[in-house]
Amino acid sequence: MTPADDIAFHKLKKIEIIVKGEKQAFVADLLSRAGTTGYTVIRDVAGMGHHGFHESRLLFNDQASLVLIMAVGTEETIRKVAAGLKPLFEKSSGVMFVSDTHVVRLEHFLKAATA
Amino acid sequence: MPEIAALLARVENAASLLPPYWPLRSFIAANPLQGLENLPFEQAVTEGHRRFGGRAYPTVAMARKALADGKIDRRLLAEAAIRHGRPGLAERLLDGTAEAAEATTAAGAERSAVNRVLLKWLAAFLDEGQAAWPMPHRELGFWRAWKRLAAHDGDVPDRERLADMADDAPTALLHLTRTLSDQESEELFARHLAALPGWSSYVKWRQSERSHPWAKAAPITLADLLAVRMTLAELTGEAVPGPVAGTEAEAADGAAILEAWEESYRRRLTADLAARAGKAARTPAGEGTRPVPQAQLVFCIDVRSEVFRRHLERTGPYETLGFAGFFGIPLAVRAFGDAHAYASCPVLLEPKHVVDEHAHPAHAHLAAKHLDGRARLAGMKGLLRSLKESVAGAFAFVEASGLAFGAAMAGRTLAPAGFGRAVARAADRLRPPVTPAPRVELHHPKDGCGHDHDHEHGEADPIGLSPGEHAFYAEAALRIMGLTENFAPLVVLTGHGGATVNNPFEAGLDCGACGGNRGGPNARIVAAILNLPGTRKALAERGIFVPADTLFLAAEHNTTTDEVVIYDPAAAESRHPELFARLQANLAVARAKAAAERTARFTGVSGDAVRHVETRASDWAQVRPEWALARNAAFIVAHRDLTRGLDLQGRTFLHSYDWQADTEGKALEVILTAPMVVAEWINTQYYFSTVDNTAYGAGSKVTHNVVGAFGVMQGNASDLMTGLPLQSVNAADTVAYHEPLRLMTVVQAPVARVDAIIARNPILQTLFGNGWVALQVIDPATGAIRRRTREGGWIDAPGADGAGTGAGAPATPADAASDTEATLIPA
Repeated sequence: MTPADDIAFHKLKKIEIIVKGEKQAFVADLLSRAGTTGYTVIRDVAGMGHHGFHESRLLFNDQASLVLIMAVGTEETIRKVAAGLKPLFEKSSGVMFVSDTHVVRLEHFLKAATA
Repeated sequence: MPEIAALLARVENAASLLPPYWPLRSFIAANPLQGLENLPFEQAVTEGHRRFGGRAYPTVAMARKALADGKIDRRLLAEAAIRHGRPGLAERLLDGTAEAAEATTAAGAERSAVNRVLLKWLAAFLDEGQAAWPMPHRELGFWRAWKRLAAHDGDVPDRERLADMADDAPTALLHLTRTLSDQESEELFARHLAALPGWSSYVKWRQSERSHPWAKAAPITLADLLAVRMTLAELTGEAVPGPVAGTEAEAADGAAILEAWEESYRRRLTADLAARAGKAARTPAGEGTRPVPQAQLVFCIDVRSEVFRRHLERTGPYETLGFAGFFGIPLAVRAFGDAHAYASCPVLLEPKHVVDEHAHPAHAHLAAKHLDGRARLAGMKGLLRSLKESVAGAFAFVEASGLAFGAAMAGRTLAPAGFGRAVARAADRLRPPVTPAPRVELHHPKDGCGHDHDHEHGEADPIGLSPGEHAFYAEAALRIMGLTENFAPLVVLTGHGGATVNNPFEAGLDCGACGGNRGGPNARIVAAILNLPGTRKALAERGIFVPADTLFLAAEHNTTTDEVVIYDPAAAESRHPELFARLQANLAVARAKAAAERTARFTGVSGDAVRHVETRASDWAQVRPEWALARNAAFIVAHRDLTRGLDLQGRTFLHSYDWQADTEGKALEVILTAPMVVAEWINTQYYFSTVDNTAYGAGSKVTHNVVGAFGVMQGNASDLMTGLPLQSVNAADTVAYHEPLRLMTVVQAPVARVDAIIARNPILQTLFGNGWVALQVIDPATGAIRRRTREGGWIDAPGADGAGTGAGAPATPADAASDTEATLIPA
């Protein structure tokens, strides 16, 4: 038996959110309220969407560039996050993707929700 | 609960309509209708009127004066009036009958019972150290603290019901909106927030600023604010203010006036530029034929720089450039002797580096005495304040010190400049002045000063920039400003700041690109980086060869007095003594000329201009130390060759740009997506503060009341006034000085390059497509000037044929058939 056989994969949900930089604070708050224990931000992402191609590299303007925010949590937690994003996307541009994922250190991703 | 997550998204959506607002100490100009920029201008101003009760267009009185002064071309007005279905507008303006169609402005906050109570509590809760007796329980957050204390507030009816309400603001809000649909809740939130838009905006700002010094001591969110306001509305039974009605005729008149006024200015500018552009296109560019100037001076793009640059260029072989006044590094600066760093970059950016200042080696021996004197001065100020505010002490204090204060008051009033100098001399004795020098190399904050500073970016983080970062920012700055060859022996990076006393809007005179701070520290940091041998070597590897004898200097342009102070003159004197002496002398000549030009714009001023502006800067009764950015109307992105020698009257932002060096359009993309956006913020703030100083401006300074050390109210209770004071835009109570025109951007670059940049940047599609900014492009190859229609087509720019205003109105472009002004005047 190798050390790798000992490792258990715990199933969780992953949400990837792409919003304008100016909405990053709102998303961070939402993630924290919903009970995620952390998130990853990738700044200055580029891509094609409903508003045409979106350039990534805005040297002097953080607010207009897009950020990708990634977080992992239980389905219940990620549902709360999605519930907070759906109305937001009625007024401001953005997308979210939810997918299944696995983690090794489960306790690392669990926290009591505040909302 | 998912319901709460959704509710908070509704609050966020509702708050997107609020005007952006920053506290006074970093006064930032912004479009009060920024939340409506996704709409065409005409719709946005109508919606702004509906939501905030603000006027949409210049008043009839402004238009009549502009017409009389020749600022609106009568023929252009007649044409615009016909297009908007309002023939005879010019005649009606002149005979005084146009006022009939003009509705009176809905002024300021409604005098509602809910607002009165809410204002009292907001001012108490948000106070940032101005109050002698702070509100208790603030650490609980606004909703919780208010719920506790409002139970004792006689102005709150049925206050015993508060005890039954949820302790958590979002839960309370959920209860308050339980009978409403999601969309109804969102609309209701928006209306409640718009009832006091200034205060709501400040709460929005505080909520977003995690690192704000008061964020922990007095945390507040928009959900808190809404919970309190909607509870008060329920308890008092007061309905939330509904939308304000406007008339279509007024809007049509206003739109025609605005269009004609803009065209009158734009065509004159276009004709001036067309003459230059045509000549430049006919002259083949001879590489290497350009003589090396004695000095290059880089100024901020700020419209105030144009006046000084023009006068300086006339004094000698100097080249001047325009660049965003933070010089391109997203910095937080920890000033010499300060514990905390402050962000010194555009608010569009998060600071990514901290640079600390220490005493310049020449002043190192004074550093300890300076810091000691500073602490003693701060202690004395604190003591005076506590004596003034102490209930018992105040009386004895007045008895004991009244005479001294009386003498100071007389001094300030009778001889402001002399008194200011005397105070400065006294302070200098106690606290000898020390020239700071930045430490730009990466280092640990403990290094050098022996003790760690508690700064906002984490105690253990290294500060300064790495050699790779030095090279990156140095290259970016030089490439974006188009200064990649032909370096002069002296290159002066000139930041700017204003000078004023007893003025809560002080930061409004400083550099917008530095987040409402003085630009000198940024200039000093970037000059230091550009002088590092490592940076020079890295630049050479990237194809930018800075001669070894080129010295970068930092300076600061005082826009109130037009004095340019060069930091570290010793370095320049030792390297290029003659050039430097000549430059200093010429800066003084340019100063006198620039001061004279600006002084002529104040009414009733005569005598020595330099003395006059110095007195203005130190007079504590002066409500208008300078005109700042008033009358701004265009943003020109081009090589200085295009504009050198033209009198642009301090109305244009000037950004240097070398279209030949920027083949991929990267530099242009930065310029259009950041400095131009900031220029649009400034321009729209001046526009709206002028067309409706009550709803969008800050009202008269004479009746201002500073609240909480972060904002101003009119009198003892009003909405927080978010825009520019009346004295910044008006020459007299009813006479506008600023000309409320939307920004026109002029870019010297191939049309295809500009099109490609717009296509990949939604922010540009919004600003140009919705008519917030007009765009003209000068084709460098032919000198032809084209104007972009809102729909994205290109037509020959009106006025480019040299016909100036009036003559030769453009034919209707086939691709612009909407009913907006794009039909004829492609804004």
